[in-house]
Amino acid sequence: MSELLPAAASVSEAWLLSLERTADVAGGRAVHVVSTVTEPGTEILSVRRVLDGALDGYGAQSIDTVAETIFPASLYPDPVIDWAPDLSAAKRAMLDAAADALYEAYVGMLPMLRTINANKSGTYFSRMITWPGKEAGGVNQLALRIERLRAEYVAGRQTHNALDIDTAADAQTDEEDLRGVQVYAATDQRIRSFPCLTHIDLTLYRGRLHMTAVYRHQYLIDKAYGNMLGLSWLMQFLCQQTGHDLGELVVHATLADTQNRSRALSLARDARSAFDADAVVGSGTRP
Amino acid sequence: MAPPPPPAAPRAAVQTHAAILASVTTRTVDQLQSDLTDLLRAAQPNRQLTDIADDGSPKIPSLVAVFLINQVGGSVSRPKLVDLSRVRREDLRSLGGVARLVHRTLHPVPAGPLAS
Repeated sequence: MSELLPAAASVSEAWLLSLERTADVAGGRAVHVVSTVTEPGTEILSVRRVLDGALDGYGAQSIDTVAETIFPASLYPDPVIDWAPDLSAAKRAMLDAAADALYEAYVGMLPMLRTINANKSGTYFSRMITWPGKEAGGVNQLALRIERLRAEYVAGRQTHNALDIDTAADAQTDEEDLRGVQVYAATDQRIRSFPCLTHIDLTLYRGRLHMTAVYRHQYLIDKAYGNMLGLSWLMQFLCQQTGHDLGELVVHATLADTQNRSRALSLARDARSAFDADAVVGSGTRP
Repeated sequence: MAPPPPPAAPRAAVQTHAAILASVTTRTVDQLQSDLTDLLRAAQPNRQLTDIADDGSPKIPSLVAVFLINQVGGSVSRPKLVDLSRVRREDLRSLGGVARLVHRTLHPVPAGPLAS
């Protein structure tokens, strides 16, 4: 039975709702769990602290480490400039250089990153910037989307739903056909493990850029929070680079997995207590 | 953006990085930590290094640690300087951790004679 969760302002609350709902199900797993974040990037720090403490306690990756698998924010030299059609040439060059610096730094690290077994087939971000993601010189899907979204802005088109529906095709498509961001190869026959994130869909509607991400198997304790945060950062990057406003983030976990139901119930209780005692911080509205 | 600021990595900085790491193979752990700190400050002028890790050195994101190791690898022509699957997670949490890891990698301790 699908679980369409109420929209939440913050990543923290959206994650907590998904954990609570799935932990309530016998077996601690649920199909089609759909989470919505209305202000991507916004967090409640006390909730994050509860989860990071739990992750550290049993040797799992931190939230930030997981988030950086989607968008390596620590490598992005944020110029704190928003793209606009009338941006000066100098500022536009700074903005483009920042994106290029991110791509170059990451691609330069790729041989070393691929020494990790889980990265043998590339990483999520390498698939976005050098498809199919194993080495330099592949298709930079993000650069292509940025170029196209800027063109949409210049043309005054604020709604474009033809960015969607790319189920597993080759990213090397006709550039006139703007699609989502491909992270999954049509020839991939693995049923688990990387890539759990199979597709990222971008929808421009009334000047706001929305994102839907599909996970075929999402670990709610180890990965879900970091995934939502990384996707939020990716949205913020795309909005900064294209001048569009930040829209909603929807994450569809076709199978949501608490991994350990008793641990999930306990964690959900602690996180809910923290949530009730704290206030929203951070910003989903841009740098 | 919410995430932290980092590297303005213009072309000119590449030479700076190379200069900072010019003597990397002969440096002590402390010297390496100092070099890596300089390199990080050059690459990411906006990064704050005020958060301190358990080992007493500045805390850094693990991806920044990999970035630094990669820079060292580039300077010694070993793009896969370390096998990340064999690296302890703590070594990627601080500048000190990276310095120790790089030093161990560049100066492996030879195995002693087998006991007879």
